[in-house]
Amino acid sequence: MRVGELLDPEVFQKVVENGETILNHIIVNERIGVLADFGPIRNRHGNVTGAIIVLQDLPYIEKMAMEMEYVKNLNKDLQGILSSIYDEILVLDAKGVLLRYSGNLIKDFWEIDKEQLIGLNLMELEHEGTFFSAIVKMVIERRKKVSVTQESRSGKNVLAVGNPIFDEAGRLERIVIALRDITETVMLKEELLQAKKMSEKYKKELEHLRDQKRYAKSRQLIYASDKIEKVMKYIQKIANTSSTVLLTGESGVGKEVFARTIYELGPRSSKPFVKVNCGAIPETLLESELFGYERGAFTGAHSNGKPGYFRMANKGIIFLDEIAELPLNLQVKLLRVLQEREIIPIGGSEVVEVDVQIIAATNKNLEKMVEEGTFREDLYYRLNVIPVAIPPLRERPEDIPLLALHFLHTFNEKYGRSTQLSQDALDVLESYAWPGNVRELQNIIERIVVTADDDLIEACHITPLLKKGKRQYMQQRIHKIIPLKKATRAVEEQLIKMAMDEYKTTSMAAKVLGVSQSTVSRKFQEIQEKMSRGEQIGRNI
Amino acid sequence: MSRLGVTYDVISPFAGTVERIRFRKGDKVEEGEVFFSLVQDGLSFDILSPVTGYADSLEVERGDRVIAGMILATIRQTGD
Ligand SMILES: Nc1ncnc2c1ncn2[C@@H]1O[C@H](COP(=O)(O)OP(=O)(O)O)[C@@H](O)[C@H]1O
Ligand SMILES: [Mg+2]
Repeated sequence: MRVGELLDPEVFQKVVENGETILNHIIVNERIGVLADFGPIRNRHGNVTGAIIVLQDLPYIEKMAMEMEYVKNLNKDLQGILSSIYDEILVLDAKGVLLRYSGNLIKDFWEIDKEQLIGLNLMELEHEGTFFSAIVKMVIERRKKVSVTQESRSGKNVLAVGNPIFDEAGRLERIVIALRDITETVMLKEELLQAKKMSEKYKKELEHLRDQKRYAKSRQLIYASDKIEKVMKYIQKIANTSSTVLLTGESGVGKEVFARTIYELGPRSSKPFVKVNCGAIPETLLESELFGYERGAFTGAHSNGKPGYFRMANKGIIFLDEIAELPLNLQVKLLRVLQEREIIPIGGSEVVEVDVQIIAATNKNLEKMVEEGTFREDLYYRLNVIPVAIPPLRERPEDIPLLALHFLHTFNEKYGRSTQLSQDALDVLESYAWPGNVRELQNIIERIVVTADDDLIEACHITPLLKKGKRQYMQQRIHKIIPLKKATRAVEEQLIKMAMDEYKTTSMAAKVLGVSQSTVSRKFQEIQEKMSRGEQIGRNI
Repeated sequence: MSRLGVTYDVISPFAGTVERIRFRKGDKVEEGEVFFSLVQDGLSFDILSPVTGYADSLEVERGDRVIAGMILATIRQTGD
């Protein structure tokens, strides 16, 4: 065995060359752990000719020393692992004094060499202090993990995670702050987000185009009744102004169709038409959807802001459907838009001017809501500049056959069929009260076209699809013999109701019915009482 | 849900106190929805969600004090 294999050659050299005596030298390696004493062997002249080495096997030293070696290796491994997850690690005591650190990658975060900071309290530092003292304070206060992001002066994004470490008694013992350069991650995430937004935007544009195509196909506003003719004339007159329009009418009467017609007839037809269903968007989202928000506005670092529907509709028209669903706090903000023609995006400090015509629609009675305090009166007057009321389908039965045939044609084409409606079938459709208005008619025709076994559709195919007991004005012939008095009374009720619906005042109704005003007023009062009890008018024919 | 589970952080833009948290872990969150309300100097500010996704972790509770830049919650993005 050669000396160097077992012993430190340097120590051996000292003994043989300098004649030194070395005692209690510990030798440890993977194989052994011994205590060694070295002494020189001299000849007569005093020259060193050899060495005596006494080795003492010390198992406990061996064990201890090997453990030390193990810990040293572990420490190295740990440092390696940590530095591949985190770029820098700081270990502080419970008061914030820096005990040790590892890694040095985020250089421009530190003004001085970190080595000089050891033993100093990070909470008392000038430059680094603000960031770190805030984290240390937070960890001490919360006794929980705290993650904070910060942009360094050179534009690096740094994530700092502060972790408290407790002793057995639950006292805070150490604070470990791990720092990571997340610049690249943030950038990649931002890019991913942008890419997603772009693809969403294209998807929307595609849908919009598809919608427009579909819409263009069924663009015609179908009608034959004088009532709609009147509305159309009115719309043509107002289309050139950019005044606010309030469309009212039961659900399914075609408010959206009229809104689009106003848009197409007016000077803004080449600009955007943006539809917002106020009832379909969650309340928490509505404000940012309408008014948008600025880049970084309280959304954290990773956001580019959002224009909002009002800015998207600039120069065009915004169609606020189901306006009655707008929560009171947003009613105030909408009022502001109507008054000032400007919006304040969330988190924005500056107002943004918008040039948008507003068309609002509702099937609710806004006046009643104003009385009940659920809709702002001032907003109601601002919206109600040009009121357009679309009458329910049952008040314009002349439109029913035309609409039915129009939808029949559309759905025949869509489903590749060639169904037809018999005269009986059309009669049944015309005499039905259509509580769901044009939308219900459209749905029923679609169902018939899809499900019909034969091409000719008869009344008996349709009746089962209609809701029973909803007929108000029975324009049918009488099917069975009933007492004349009963029938007369029923017809009378129908006529008075119709006249009042049409002419609103008892004096006008009396004129067209050819009776006295007091008769109309007395009978109409009875009708109203009947109706308020939920009874039907004009029954038993 | 996307297999790429990318998470985004809801970050506090300033120091304040958490007044309201509108979502719980696992809730669906839309971009621009109000996630937190923070009070600073007696004024309440809404902190909006930067992305659409699912609330992945909530780092704070009502009444907690927070500092600028602090991560309040993470949102896992959906794949669609
Ligand atoms: N006069 C009409 N001509 C053609 N289609 C109509 C007409 N009125 C309504 N519709 C159709 O009926 C459905 C319901 O109309 P919509 O405008 O959405 O009603 P509302 O908004 O009043 O609830 C839509 O599919 C629409 O295209
Ligand atoms: Mg509608």
